[in-house]
Amino acid sequence: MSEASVLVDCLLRRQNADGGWSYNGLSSWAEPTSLALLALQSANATNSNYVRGCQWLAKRQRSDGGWAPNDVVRTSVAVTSLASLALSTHLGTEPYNRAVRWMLAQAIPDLPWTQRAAYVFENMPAREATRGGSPWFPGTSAWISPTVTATLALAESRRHINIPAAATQVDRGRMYLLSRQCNDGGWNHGGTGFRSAKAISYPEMTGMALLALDGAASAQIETGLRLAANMWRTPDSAEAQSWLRLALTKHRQPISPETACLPCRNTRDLCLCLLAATASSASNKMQTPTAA
Amino acid sequence: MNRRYFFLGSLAVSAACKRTASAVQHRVSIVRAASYRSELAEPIKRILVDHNVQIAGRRILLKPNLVEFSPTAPINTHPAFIAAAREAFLTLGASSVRIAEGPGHRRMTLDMAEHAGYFSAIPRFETNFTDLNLDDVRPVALRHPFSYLQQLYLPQTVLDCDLLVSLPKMKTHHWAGATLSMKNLFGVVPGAVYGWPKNVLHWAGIDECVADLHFLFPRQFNLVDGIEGMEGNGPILGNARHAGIIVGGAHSPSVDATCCRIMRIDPNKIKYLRLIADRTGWETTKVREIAESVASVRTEFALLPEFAHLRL
Repeated sequence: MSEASVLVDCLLRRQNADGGWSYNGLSSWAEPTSLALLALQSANATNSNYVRGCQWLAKRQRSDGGWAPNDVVRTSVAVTSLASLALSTHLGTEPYNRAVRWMLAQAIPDLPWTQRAAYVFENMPAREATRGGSPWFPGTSAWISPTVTATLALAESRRHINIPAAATQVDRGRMYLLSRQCNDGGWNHGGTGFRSAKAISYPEMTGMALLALDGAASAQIETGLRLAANMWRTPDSAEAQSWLRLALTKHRQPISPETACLPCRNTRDLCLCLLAATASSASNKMQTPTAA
Repeated sequence: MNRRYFFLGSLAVSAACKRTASAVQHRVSIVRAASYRSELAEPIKRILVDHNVQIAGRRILLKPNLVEFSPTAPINTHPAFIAAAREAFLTLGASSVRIAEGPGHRRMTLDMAEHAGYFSAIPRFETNFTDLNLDDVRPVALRHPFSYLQQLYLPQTVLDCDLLVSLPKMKTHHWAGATLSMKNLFGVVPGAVYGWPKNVLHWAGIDECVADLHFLFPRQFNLVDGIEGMEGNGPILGNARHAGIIVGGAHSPSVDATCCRIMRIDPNKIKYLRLIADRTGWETTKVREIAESVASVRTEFALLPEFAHLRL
């Protein structure tokens, strides 16, 4: 059996009776379910289990267009991006529109000129004034991971509906990602340089960020890709391995043979592993181009 | 009784409660521990016995501070410390001892735990560990919060334990000044709901949320890993600072205030401690030190220039 087939089997065995997926054998949550659907799509394993998963997820879209993390939480959060990405061809036009508009509404607006001027006056680096990313939780700051998933989801939306603001936000998201590159060329969770100027990057965040920065060759991207290739040789987790493999594939970089087979710790890891194993699949939505 | 007398009576009762709170001396143990190779379970057990902690038949949850991949830098609670605490609680008759954490920066909790040495130091670690970031949750209302938060979704594993034991690393912090027992509870707030990092807490006020979390967990004990802490640009980028102590107690603000004094940080200038003091009448100096005194173990932790005003 191929690597992908084995992973598909594992994933299907972890599906809950209600059709969703949990993180660790408990109740179903939107994130592992969304990732499971994306992984099964990528592996072309869209059988009845997959359909039940789509039904579980689609039913949980909230009236504001977003998705909550699970059935207990009463707030739509960043998982909306993954859910809309997973269901991009399953949602009707109206619910899909609402999901896209929810994501657009979360994007952090640009600073007013008065605040940008204050940053210059206080000698803050220009990157600190860059906005345009997406938050984990409504009303909070932008971070790398939710910005990447929102950028991929909005880039995907261009294939299905015509909302010009989506294309603009994809560009803004990419600019935000570039502004948060660490000094070593990679990315961490996206913290500002304030008191963290020497903060090191994380392999999984470097992989994620590069996934949404395809299509634009620049010194910044080249530096990031070189670091990603190095990180790929000594990954610290299965998650890091998966994101790096996805990113290097998207940027058409050579990928040296895996040096370590790291354990999948939970269902999310398993989904990412399957997505990485099928990185070259035409059905892999992590490979959605974000460049215009 | 008319409204005027009711109002005056309420004021009097409230004032009396504050006076009572300020009069109480909270006991804090300070015990020397030269290194992580020393016998640690016995001194921890003595602390628990000295504080009359009810353990027999109880479900104990140990909450260490696990932040980054680093087996050598003094970022994470040391595995030997956690193993010793676990052993102490089991010896004293706990029905179960689970370890749980929800790191705020990186999602691969078990990978970090393995890298930190937790798997090798703690028997059957993976079976007895809960990633709080991915646990099922319940909403918990915040009554009279310091922050603007009205409720938090919290992990069931934490809500269902009989005693939550905060096992922080003794470190400076580049936003709060110091990160000790109380700030350690940020790790119980689940990333699967609030993200990585848990930015909701920063927006609502780090100090206010530290104080809010304190009141959410009345059944708590604290054991601070001060054998080797972190000074300077904590909680990640600072330098090692050997203090050679374990600090323990049930009253988290008193434990933290004592740790601050040991580090030569003025606890009266740590905002989250001031919030508690202002509301309850607790005084940072009303601590009864058991075993060692602050003066005998005082170890100055270097502070970032912008925190020089915290120096005691």
